[in-house]
Parts: sequence; C-alpha cells; structure tokens
Amino acid sequence: MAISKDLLEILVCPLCKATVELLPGETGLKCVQCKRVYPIRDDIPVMLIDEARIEE
Amino acid sequence: MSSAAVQGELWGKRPRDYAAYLEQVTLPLQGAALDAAHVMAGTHLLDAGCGAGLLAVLASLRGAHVTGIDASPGLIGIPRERLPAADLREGELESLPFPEGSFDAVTAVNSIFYTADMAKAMRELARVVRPGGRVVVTAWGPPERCEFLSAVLAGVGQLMPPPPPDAAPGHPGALSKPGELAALLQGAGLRVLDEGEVSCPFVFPNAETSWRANASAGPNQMAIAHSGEAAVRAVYIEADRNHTRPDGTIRYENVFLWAAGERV
Repeated sequence: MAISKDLLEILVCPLCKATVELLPGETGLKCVQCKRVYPIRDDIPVMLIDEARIEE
Repeated sequence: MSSAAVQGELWGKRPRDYAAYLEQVTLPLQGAALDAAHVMAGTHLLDAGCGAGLLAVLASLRGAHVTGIDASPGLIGIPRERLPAADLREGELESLPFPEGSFDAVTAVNSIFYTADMAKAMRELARVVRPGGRVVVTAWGPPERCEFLSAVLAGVGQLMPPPPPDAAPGHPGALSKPGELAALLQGAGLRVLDEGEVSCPFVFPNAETSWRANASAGPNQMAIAHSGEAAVRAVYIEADRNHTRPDGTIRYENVFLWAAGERV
C-alpha cells in the first residue's frame, strides 16, 4: 500500500486531464475518460502517455 | 521515442553518480529558485524535472509539501529513497498529470530546455499552479559567462550523433539570452515578477571525481554511446587541466539565470 489516497486525489490523466482510478492490486492507474492505463512501477506511477495502454 | 523517453534514459544511466557528484553543483541555484517561488512551511510545491530530488529535499526541510515529477525512471528512484513520504512520479513536463491549479508554487530548475516543446511545457507549468501562485524556471547563463560550457561544449558536441529531424532542443545554451526566460513565462500567460542570476561554480576535488560527476549527465551519456567513453573523457581531461587551481582543485565559474512569474 504505497500509493496514498491523498496522492490519488490530485492525479489526473496527463492527456485528457480526467480522473484516474487505482486498479486492483495497485498495478496501474486507469483514466475514466480515455481508458488509458498508466503502469505503477516500484511504487512510482508512470504517467507517460507513450507508456500507457488503452484497456476498454 | 519522445523527448522525455530519450532524456529519461540518458539521465538514468548513472543515477548514483548524478546524485552524489553532479546534482549539487547547482546548489546555490536550487536555493534561489525556492526563494523566488516563495517556498515555505505548508507550501504545496511541484518540482518539474526533479532529477534525484535535491530541490525536493531542500523544500521539505523548509516544511513544504513536495510533489516531484521526472522523465527518468532511473533517477526517480533516488528521491523515492530520500523522501519516502513525497509524491513522486514519472512523467513529462509537456503533459503533466495534475488538475488545473493544484499547487502553490512550481519550480523547473534546468529542466525546461530539455523538453521538445518548451512553450507547451511552460503552459503546463502555468496551468497547474493556482491563481496567485508562482512559477520559477531556470537556465544556464550565456556561454561566455559559463566557463564549464566554454570548456566542454564544442568538444563534446563533436562526439554527439547528428540530431534527428524531430530533435528536442536539449541544449544547455537554450534560454541563455537576456529576456528569453521571461518571454517564455509571458507566453504561457504568466505575469513576470522578478528575474535574477546566481553564481554556481562547479568545484571538483580531482579529475576522477569530475569525470564521475560529468559522465552521469544526459548529454555526455549520449556522446559516450556514440563515440565511446575514452573520447568523451579526453575532452574532460583537457578541460579539467585548464581549470585546475594551485591546490589541485578543479573549478569552473558559471552563471545561471532564473525568472519568476505569477498566475493572474
């Protein structure tokens, strides 16, 4: 449980600026709008558009 | 590959050497940026291009709440160790993962000239600061006032690969002309409040430490990948020889520039 809830409150998708949601197991952060999933590696969210994958 | 991915990989090759030997050469500039951004206890600060986290550590010593973002997966693990409670993430300045108006202050110390689109990055910095909040950006001063650049830029430049057509500026000489930093702030809709310059002598106890420090820098890693370590090191051996003082210490006098803007 390394990603704090406070942190998530100010986290948005770098592309469309919509809210992101923490996936179960804290494996990634998913944009509620464009459905891009940003990976979390070594407890650090990788908020790079190039590294995200769209998961419907 | 995006400019962030390219820079991120280059700066992450020798993160421990960067953190231990190179990051602190701009210590006076880091302090000036914190002062210009009015960072104090309780300030919610974003450090954009946080590197190994020196400014983030200094800001946390002032009692600020620090968020750091950097394009280098190799480097960002170091501030994670230094500041376990800080909010750190990998990302690029041109597309920040924060809502509008998230921070009281934003700093970008010697990072914005490495972005592919400096105007876009600046608009992002301006977007995430709150109205009335400050954004501070810094850059190298004119090359003729930076002994370090004068000593190594031409030599290392010859060892670099030819730039691709979509190359990032990525050049420490960018933004060094009078008024360029202020114009960048203004172009993003910020009101320019103040500008200044800071002397940052690069001091190394010996040539070996100088090389450990400098080999960790992104541009030198690019030159090493293209031309081999021996060729790049030869540039530094010659430069260091010309800047060795009577006690054996190597010292380059440099000037860095900063500009502070306010979101209206």
